Amino acid sequence: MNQDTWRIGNHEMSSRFFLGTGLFPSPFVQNEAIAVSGAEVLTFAIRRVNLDAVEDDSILQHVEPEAFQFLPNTSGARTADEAVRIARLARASGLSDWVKVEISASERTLLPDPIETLRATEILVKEGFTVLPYISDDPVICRKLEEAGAAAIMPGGAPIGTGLGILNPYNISLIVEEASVPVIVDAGLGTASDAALALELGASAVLMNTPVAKAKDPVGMALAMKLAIEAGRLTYLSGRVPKKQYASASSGLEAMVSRPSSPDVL
Amino acid sequence: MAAGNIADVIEKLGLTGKPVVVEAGGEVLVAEQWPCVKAVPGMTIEIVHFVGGG
Repeated sequence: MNQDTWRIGNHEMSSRFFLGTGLFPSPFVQNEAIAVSGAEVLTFAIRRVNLDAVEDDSILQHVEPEAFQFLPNTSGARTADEAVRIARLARASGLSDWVKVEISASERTLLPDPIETLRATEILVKEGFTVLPYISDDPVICRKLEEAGAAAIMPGGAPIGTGLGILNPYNISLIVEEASVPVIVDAGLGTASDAALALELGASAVLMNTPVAKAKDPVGMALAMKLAIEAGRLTYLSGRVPKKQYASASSGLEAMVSRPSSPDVL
Repeated sequence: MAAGNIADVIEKLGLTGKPVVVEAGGEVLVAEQWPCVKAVPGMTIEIVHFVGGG
């Protein structure tokens, strides 16, 4: 497993855990969770500075930028143009040219707008960004995003923050099968078995925030997720047995003690 | 806002040295550009930073 690396663009990684930085109870707990997660990629959002409280800590005061690949998102954008603007602002920080395109059509579901997401991806790829679009678990739109130059595809398992897990494993499998860029299951995961399933289905990685940050013990959960991701990946590489309709005994049905027999010697 | 450049504006707001990004008059600026861009009356200046998110 030590050599099982993967890459987005030229960036080589061994961790398959992208960790969000929202909702943690404190910067201290967040840093501990980041440390045990082994995550190499951290996500952020872009928001207006509150001019009434400029002394408010920026998230970056708690995180060493050199140690991580930053993945800013465009959350809050409702259109491609808004997402492009947020992406340009994020890149001007000089911290990263990666961007997670996230364009929500509805505040209630936060489901991605696939048309605007595709449009934003096309524009941002032309501007030289490394684009990772958050998108519905639809194999057709995922293929179109790849054709538009997305560096990875990030289908949601379920709506953001719901913790419902992977609602359509069949679609995630299809997306993985068809993609030639990494597939990262993003959003909606709730627990370690969800993360394991994503990797078992062949996803290259998962992106999680809420299930870690809002767990009773975020640090413990970060470790649980890390182990589940490793288990899921190893399962995928090792090849699970096919599912069968009926039982098949592990020791065969020959020479069972309970079965009558009549040896010749008697 | 009194005349000056974007770097002056950032300083007046107490944001110098903080990891903020500025868009002025619709143009996204990297920090090196701040002293070169004049802050004019009526200009819309957007100041953003990274916050926690997933």
